[in-house]
Amino acid sequence: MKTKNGLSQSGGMDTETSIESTLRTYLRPVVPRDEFVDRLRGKLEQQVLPIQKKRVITFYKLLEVTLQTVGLLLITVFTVRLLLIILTTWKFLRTSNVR
Amino acid sequence: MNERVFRVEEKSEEQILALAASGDEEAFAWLYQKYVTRIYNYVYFRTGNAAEAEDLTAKVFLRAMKHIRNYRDLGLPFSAWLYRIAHNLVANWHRDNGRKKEIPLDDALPLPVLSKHPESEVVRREETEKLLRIIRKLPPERQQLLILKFVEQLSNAEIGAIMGKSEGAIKSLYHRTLLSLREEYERYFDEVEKDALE
Repeated sequence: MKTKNGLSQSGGMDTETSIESTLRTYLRPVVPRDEFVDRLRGKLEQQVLPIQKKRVITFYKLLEVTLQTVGLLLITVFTVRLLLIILTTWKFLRTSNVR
Repeated sequence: MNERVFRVEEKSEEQILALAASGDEEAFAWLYQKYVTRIYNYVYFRTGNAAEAEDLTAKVFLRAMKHIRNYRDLGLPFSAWLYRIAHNLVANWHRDNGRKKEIPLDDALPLPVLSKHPESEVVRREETEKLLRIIRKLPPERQQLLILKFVEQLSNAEIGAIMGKSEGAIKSLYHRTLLSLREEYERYFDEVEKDALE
């Protein structure tokens, strides 16, 4: 064996404790590159934007349709009312003229 | 923007998750910042390759972002959901690359430098490489357990929550994992000795 390190001493690996100690020694957390973390964050932000844009467009479309419907309803109501007024007036005038 | 981040940080993780699920960009960014290193570590130790770890970590978060609206809190930690995605992607990666293919550990591994002496640092890298080679011979579930326990330093209860098992089941699995790791070690050193004699 070239080292006296725990891993190279196969004879010393007969207990759970020694395996655990080896794992504790060599399995250490690694840190991803800052450049990678920032780049991926940027990529995720770019992916979010189109979704948000789409949602805003959908919202405005819904608003537009709602306003158009309400507008048409109001126009219809006013037109019917106007027609009724004209009709009533015409009937009234007609009756007055006959007398 | 800063005000928004501040408001997100004031909330609990459950509230942030709910915000992220409703499409809140800042909430997802917060979750990303919290879990990116953990997921990277998990993928890195499962693949042994820094470039692949970056690629797969990116895929994990892109997939998580795509499906975050479907995320439902079932009492498991959010990390369990991310680990599940990572686990599936790593499994696909192993399947695509072939199980027998050995991936050499990159020289530029971002392993933490623990010694000021270059010689002992080289030895440490070699030993880590050996250990990871042996660990990768274990079934994926056992690899995951060792990574979560030693790299992420999570408790058995936390590991259980992530892996969808009880604390007792994790303890038992851990015991069996150590036994099989010992067997793998013995097999590895037997092969080394045999090679040396030949």
